[in-house]
Amino acid sequence: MTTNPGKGGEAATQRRGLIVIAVLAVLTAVEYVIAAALDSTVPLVTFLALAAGAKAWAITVYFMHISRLWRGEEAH
Amino acid sequence: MAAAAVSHDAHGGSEAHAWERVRVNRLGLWLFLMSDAALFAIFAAARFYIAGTERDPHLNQALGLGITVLLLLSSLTAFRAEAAFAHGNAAHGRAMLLATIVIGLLFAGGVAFEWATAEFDASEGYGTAFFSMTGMHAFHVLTGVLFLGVIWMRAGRGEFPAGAATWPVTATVIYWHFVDLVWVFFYPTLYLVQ
Repeated sequence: MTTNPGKGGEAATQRRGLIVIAVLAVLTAVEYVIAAALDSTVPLVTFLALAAGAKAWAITVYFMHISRLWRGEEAH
Repeated sequence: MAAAAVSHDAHGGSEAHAWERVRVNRLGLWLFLMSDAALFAIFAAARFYIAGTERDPHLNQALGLGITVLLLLSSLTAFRAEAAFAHGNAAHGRAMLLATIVIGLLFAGGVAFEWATAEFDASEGYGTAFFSMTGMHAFHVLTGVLFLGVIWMRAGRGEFPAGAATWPVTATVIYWHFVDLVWVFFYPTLYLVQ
């Protein structure tokens, strides 16, 4: 999956954005449900940290295009 | 023929110069974001230092989840705006920028409502963390909205036509995603950890 919104057609790029946001929404819902269900602090904090890390990775890679720092994909 | 070759070289040179400038700008933006992230990390660490893993039982969980969903949604509209400008679709890009601005303002309104109705105050440990973290984040949301508004107006003047440089749009959108990224950590830190 490319991270460049300039690559491929606009529709394909927009679809990619939808997929990423759907994953983020699902992870957020899971966080909420697990936090409501789990009473134990250490497993809860561990899970929340992992989920937030996964969401942060998706945002930096697919939305913030961090790879362009070393790949320089776009001209403008 | 020679003149055409010189012109071609000059064009190529200016392209390379523009590309190099964007590269430096991008690096500068990321350095700024990393220093800003350090500030937010200190706020998050302070929350656990001051209040441990406790959270106030009177927190409005529905509102917290609602504004989180709003901010996620704004990331999608910002992404769509950037993609539209990159593909020369300025009209759609402007519409998506406006949607991002509106959602950002709704998020800020939600935070303001939470502040106004909170059943805890800043003198308590958790309250200190809550108000300082959400306050600092909301300030970034408002500055992001301001930047988006500037880009929206510039796009309205036709400054980003098809094939033109879209770095100002990209930089603003990256900043907006950063604001969302911070909330990805702040939401569980403030609302879910216990």
